[in-house]
Amino acid sequence: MLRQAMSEETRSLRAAPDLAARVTARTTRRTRQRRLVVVAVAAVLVALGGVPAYLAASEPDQVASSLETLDGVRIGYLPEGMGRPQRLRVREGGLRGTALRWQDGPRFVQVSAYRAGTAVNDSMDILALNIVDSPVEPRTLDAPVLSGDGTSLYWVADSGLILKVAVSPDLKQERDRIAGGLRVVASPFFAGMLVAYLPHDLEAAGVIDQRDGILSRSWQGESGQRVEVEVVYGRTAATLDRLRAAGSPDRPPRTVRRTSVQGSPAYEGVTGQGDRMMLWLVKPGIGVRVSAGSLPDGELARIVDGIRPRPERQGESVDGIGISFPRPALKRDLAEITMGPGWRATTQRWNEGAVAVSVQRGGAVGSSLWWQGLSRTEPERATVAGVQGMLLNPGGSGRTRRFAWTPEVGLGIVVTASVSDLDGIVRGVRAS
Amino acid sequence: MTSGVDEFAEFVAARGTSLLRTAHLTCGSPGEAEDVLQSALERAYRHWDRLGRGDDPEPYIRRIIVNLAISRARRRAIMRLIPTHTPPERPAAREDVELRHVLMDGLRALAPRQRAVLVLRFWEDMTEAQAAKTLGCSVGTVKSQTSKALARLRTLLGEDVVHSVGS
Repeated sequence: MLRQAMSEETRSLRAAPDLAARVTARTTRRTRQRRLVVVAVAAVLVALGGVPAYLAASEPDQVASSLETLDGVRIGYLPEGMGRPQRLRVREGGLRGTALRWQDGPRFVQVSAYRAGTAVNDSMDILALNIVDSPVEPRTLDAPVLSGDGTSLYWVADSGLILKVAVSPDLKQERDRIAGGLRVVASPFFAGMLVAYLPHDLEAAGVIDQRDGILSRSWQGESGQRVEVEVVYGRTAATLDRLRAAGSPDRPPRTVRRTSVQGSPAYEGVTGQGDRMMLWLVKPGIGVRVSAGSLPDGELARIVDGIRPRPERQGESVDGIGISFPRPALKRDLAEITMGPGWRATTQRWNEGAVAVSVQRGGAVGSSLWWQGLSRTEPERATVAGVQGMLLNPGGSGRTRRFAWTPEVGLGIVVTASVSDLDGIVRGVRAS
Repeated sequence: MTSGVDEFAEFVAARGTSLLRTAHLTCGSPGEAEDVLQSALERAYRHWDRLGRGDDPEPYIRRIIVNLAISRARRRAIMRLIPTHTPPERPAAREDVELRHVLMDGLRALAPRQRAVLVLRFWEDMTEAQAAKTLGCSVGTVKSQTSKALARLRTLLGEDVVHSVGS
């Protein structure tokens, strides 16, 4: 009867015909607005006192300098008398990570960092992992998830990075201060590029964005300063004019003049929001656009000058991804570059193609079109050497297997090897 | 070849009405349902490249809808400072009131999470495990919430209505 009542109650409801159009238009508008207000919102939340300050631009706690770093996260505050920490490997549900645990008799503090790849983006994704005991519903997607007993706090601190603070019951009143003291140490690497210089008073705002096949990341300051770096891979960056026009209509600069960046032809212009933008091709198929607002003269040029392709590692590497082979002395063949809409692949083969590693970068990596381009047959989920990914030729009768995974936003790796070698090669890529 | 925008538009055209109905039942009001649905679709659209890689995006969007509905209901209750959805404890079952309206009023009077559990179990036909995954809680929590929701519904509707419903 309840089901029948529900059916009758909703029978006359119809979704509006223009619903999809309204959603896409509002999303584009809101993404822009959100980038501008995120620092202000964070400051208000911290002032209210109920939310950890991981987004905030406040001064680090005074105790910070003497404390530890955990997987790129600096711990800024601990209650007194906790002693030295124990470093642990931790697993929770399907998550794996590292942790620091301070124990003083029954009192303890544990800070855990889980690298969750591209699957976890906000608090709803954390809830869906089903790892939080009697979770308290967060008010927003950006807010942390608190366990029902108040001893554990989880949140997405950066792209693919979940942080957890767990304390003993008698330290619950210290939980938010510990969480507020955690700072993600900014990685200078983004989308296969090294961003060597940013003004020191800017902090990363939000996570890496992947819309329209463009990888973008924003930084903001307390006084309204903002910088956005967009990296465009593939055919969209085949020429300077295609790079200029990439993305939704409100993104490209409206007026431009020719200039040069690092010796390459470039454009300089002004965006629809009034920010100054510079754009150039690093190589055919790799383009960068940098926009900045409310920065002193000369800062945009200094930022642009510091953006370079990620340096190759020593030893075997493909497009910045190091590789250690289980057995040495494979004969290296020529590398091949291929491009598609929103992605660029560098494929290195060894022993006349018996082994291949393809590093694919771009905003389209991970999209359905990209996966379809990798395999004509239906891929199959698989775990190889502890890495979750897809077997691209699961039913193949030969001895060669192709395995693909996306370790971070905008990065895909495809390994081709014999059945017997696949595990060792994937392990070698993962460990590098 | 269809673009992400086209794929998204096709998805909304095909599944928008079904999602709106779920939103209506979990929110309890048509206006709120449309707002929740639009917010959920915006969230999905921002990640459409990843959602559309082969897995069905619909369970993901239903999860957002249900959790948004719960969060909004709780926030609204806090903002108003009084539990606006609590009707008289035992309303009389009146012969002249359409049974469906009585049931829907009872559903709306439940706590948001209890209402969501009933919608997922009895409208979406989800198993306890599927409902647990959608809500981000344990199977045991789904069982206990379902039991409490049905008990509360019986209390709200009154025994005479429950007998006339037959369950």
